[in-house]
Amino acid sequence: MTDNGTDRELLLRYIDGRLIPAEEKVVTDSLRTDPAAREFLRDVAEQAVALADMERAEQGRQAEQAAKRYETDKQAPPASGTEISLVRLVRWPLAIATAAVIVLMTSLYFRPDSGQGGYDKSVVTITGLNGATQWTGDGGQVDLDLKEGQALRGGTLETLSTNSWVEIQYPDKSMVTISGRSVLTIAARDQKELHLGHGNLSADVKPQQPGTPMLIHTPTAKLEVLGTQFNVDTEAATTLLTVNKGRVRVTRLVDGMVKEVPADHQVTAAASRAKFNVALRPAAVKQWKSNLPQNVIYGKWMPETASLRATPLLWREGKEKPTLLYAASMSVSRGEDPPVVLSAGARFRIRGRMESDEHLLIGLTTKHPKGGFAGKYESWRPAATFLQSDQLFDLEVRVEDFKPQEPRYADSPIGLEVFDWWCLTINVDAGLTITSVELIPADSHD
Amino acid sequence: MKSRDRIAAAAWMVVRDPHTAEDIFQNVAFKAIGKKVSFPAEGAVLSWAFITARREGIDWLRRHRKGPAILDSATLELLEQGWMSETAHHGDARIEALRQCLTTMPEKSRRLLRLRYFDGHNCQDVAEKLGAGLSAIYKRLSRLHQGLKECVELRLNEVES
Repeated sequence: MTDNGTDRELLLRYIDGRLIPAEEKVVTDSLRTDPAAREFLRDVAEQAVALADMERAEQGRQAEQAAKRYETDKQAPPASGTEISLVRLVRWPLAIATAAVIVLMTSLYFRPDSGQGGYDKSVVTITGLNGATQWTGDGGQVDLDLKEGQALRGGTLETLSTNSWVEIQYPDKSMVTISGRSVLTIAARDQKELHLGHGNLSADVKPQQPGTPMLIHTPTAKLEVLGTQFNVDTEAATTLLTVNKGRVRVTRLVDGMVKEVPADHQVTAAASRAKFNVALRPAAVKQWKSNLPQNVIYGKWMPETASLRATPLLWREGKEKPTLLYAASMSVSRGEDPPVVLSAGARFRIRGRMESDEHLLIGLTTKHPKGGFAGKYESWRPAATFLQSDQLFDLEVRVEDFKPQEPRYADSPIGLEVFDWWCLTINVDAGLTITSVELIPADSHD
Repeated sequence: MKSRDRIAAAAWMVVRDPHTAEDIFQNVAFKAIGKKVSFPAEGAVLSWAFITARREGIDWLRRHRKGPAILDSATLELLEQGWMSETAHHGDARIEALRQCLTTMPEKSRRLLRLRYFDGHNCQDVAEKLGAGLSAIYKRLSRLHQGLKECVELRLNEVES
């Protein structure tokens, strides 16, 4: 099989997991029957480990020289590239490398204010936030009392509740917002690099230097951004990218397939080799009805009653005593669904059940049409105003009744897109369950 | 331990990461030393080392949720038999020859191998970094691997003659 280059390329693609099933079968069969095919793979493996070994040894020599120079003149701290190489160096049990590691590690860890492994510049600044949020710095320090204007270095930022959000800004004014229950790790380096573990992110990125795009990693994709506005919604098995302005390059991790996503388009990168097509973003609609349990974000789906039960959620804000919420949350226009726009006179019709008469807080996460995060809006329904005698309720909330959590956002959500919807009771488990939610436009008589 | 590159190479065939493969080799070596395992012949040591490296590799894939090994057990065993046979015929001379060939190869070629096998970039990333197409990268890698193999054989022939 390995008499020609094409067969060898096939073997290389095979060990990269890049073959289609029919090609895989040909290669698998030949590996079992053809000694030359196996010999080629053995050669590749030997060459890979020998090369890596020689490179480690070379980096060991360089690190040793750098350590000697640093010890001699004590001028500049070692470059970050040297630090990275130490990770590989420690694998290599040479006395020479060990000596270099000790000298360099000492200089890294005992340098004043070098708590971020030698990168002591702040990376981003918090420019807005609300709700339960958490910051875990590189040293494992947890901060639950985040404030606007606070500078952050490398670490992990989390929004912990359905109605939480945080907006951060890079020095070049590039903005990133996460909301809902999201986890974002910010790399401490000059190139913008983020890891969105799960949740949703909206970014407005200023033009970046060629060759150093902003990188966003999700469990299923890598995004490269040179300057654009886009939204990302990710979970363990899928990443949905919607580009509003500019262009974003997406690499699907499962097979390395790359797509360029232009403005007004979206693509879903799944963990599997499902379709990976760039598609025009669907036209916005003004009407919507929940599709449970597919839309569930938070809460417990009760199949016997076909309803979503509110479940406990701790709301921690700063140093205040945590508040216990009982929340249910569902997506409205996430995934590949068309965007749902709030129109004047429209109303939400919510049907459900409560075992005790409690205040109900209903909320929305919004986005600008073809844009990023536009704030969270809430509306209270006081106890004893909507619950019927049989503990059921069928209430309507006008879009005009929703008010922004923060004055920085528009007074009314009219004209914005709804990303998700939630409702909750505070401190009391009222046995809240939701059977359906609808957005009914003004011109509908339903 | 003799044959370290071959055992590390066998681990690489499972995990496809040279640094992890090196770690696995070291674990195998520590196990051999720590447990004071005794074997009746060198072949038995090697066989034990290859099997242990393979198991550690599969365990690493599982722990890091990297999916199953690309090659099935039967193929991995055939590859290991090939390495054992090579060790018996050439000892470490082949590995030494390979290191000499790697030392003398042009920097441009070495850079490609470094990006792929030391820095751990996949071929798609390598293609982007070098401004080349994915197919071109596979072609170049294929030629480089074949070239190194021929270089090794040439050097072994020179030594024998």
